[in-house]
Amino acid sequence: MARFVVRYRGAGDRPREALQRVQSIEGAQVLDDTGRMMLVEAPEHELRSALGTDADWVLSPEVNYPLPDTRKRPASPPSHGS
Amino acid sequence: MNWYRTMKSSVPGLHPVENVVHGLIHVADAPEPQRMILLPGNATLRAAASSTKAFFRTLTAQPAKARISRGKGGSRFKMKVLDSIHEDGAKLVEISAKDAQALRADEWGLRMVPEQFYQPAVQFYQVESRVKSATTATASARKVIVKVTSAADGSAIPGANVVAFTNFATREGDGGVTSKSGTVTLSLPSGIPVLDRLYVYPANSFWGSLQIKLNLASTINVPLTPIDLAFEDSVRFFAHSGEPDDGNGVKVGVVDTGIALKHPDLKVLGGECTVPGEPANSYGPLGGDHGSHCAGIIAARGTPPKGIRGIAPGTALYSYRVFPKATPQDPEPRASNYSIAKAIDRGAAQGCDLLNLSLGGGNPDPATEAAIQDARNAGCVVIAAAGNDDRKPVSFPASFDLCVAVSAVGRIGLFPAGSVDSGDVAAPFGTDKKNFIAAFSNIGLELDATGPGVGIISTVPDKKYAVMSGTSMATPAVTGLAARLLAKNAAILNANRDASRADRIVRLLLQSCKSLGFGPTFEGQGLPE
Repeated sequence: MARFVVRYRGAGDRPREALQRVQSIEGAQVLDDTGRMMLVEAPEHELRSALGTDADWVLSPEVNYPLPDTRKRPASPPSHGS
Repeated sequence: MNWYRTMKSSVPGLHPVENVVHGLIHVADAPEPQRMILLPGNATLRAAASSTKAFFRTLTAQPAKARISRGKGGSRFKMKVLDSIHEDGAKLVEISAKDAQALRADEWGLRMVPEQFYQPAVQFYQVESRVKSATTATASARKVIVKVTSAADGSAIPGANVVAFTNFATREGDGGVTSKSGTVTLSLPSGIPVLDRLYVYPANSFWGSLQIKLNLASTINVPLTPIDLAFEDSVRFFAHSGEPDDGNGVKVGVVDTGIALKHPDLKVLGGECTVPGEPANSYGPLGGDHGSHCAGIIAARGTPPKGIRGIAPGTALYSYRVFPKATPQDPEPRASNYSIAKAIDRGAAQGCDLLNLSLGGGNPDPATEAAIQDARNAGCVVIAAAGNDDRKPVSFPASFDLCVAVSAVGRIGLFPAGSVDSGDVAAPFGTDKKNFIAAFSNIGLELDATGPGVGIISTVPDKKYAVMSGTSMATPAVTGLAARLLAKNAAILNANRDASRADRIVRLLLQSCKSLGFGPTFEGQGLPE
């Protein structure tokens, strides 16, 4: 199941019902929760439905960044005997 | 860029013409004006800082196609307003690259994106790679032993990464890591008498080595030059080692692999690990050496030749670890946007004035953008690396308008001849012909500044020192310079923590910049002083 970052951008505390709706999605897991932001494993469509069209929520897929590195690496083994 | 993503997602079937975007980037230093779209940095004028609101309304009040000429704080720019959606909306302007940089420095928080054109998304197929002939004829392979030793005493150097390219352009080659005896055995074609390039990257304590067009032998000896901590590298040349109290009163968060907590040159006052599933108090260097190196550039407190001195040693350092701990199953773990956004939140909440992000890549991410925007609203500035993709466009999050984006400058003569850093020398060269923008550095109009990022000596875990290169190193150099400037400006340092404070910090930084003669596409405003 895909993982999503869900962030509340409205004024004050996030609505409690929204969290309950997210938790009620079958198979959904809240992996981390800072209050303002959650890391959620859930089907995207159901997660979007749970949050509704409220513009105070930002939803984005989890993205993973590699460590920056300027060292050169071979992309392929050398051609032999050509 | 937000505009790019918004347009792409809101116009089904239409996609930007990529070569137009790249074309704009590459011709950006031409004196001819380009058409750009101006937007308030917070998406709506309601949420923008007061100076941005006033500026936008000035534009709206101008008659159609008026030419604006103004400046404050020493910067001047000219532009022509071609169209305006409404008072709170986008403005289409015609402005030169140089004037665009001046405007960006003057009106921080303003989004500025090139006008783009769209065409129907017609799919067609292209050949992406060709099958190589006889690539598996292993019978003709030969074994080559590379032995890596200290040039000082001939002792073996284990743990060095050796990469041999038979064809550097196509990146064909073989590589490995030296054993305890300092050797590694590579498999190379027997029919090739000359290696295109041989790189050796030691883990620490030595400069790397680059040999070009090397005659192949059954054993190749590579002596490495030990690091002299009193050596004047690019950071020391361009930014100078700081006085002990430089940066006093300024809090800087390093969002990275964690900082070496026991290094004698580093003093870390706090932080947090924001990797889900790992302890919050585990903000040491479990994600690798990178964060400790960045931290040392900003605020190392040592004294050569026994230690090294960063740019602003008085800075209060905080470590936000976003790269997970490496495991045998995942030796090169990645940092998630969740960990990064959480680290930005924590840094801003814990009172950091500056957050150093020597990381990035990929497409714009709304969660990270929101965290950066919230940090700005809390008076905190994010400084981010442009990326190391060999002249590609500035990567995210540096490309986000509310980040200070940093490219990497180097200088010939500030690394040993034959070191790996000699491979990073590339045009353009500056007003001083020894200066160059590193070959790996990404470029574009989103750049705000440049910093020293080639052959940089700094701290790594286990009380050691290493040389690294990258926009990752240029970014903490700019962060250190920003800390030094901010510490000397009590009015801004002690101002209310809001968006205006963040904007004033950025203005202070960018207005201190001096061009090195590369043009805005390569250096933004230039090198901070």
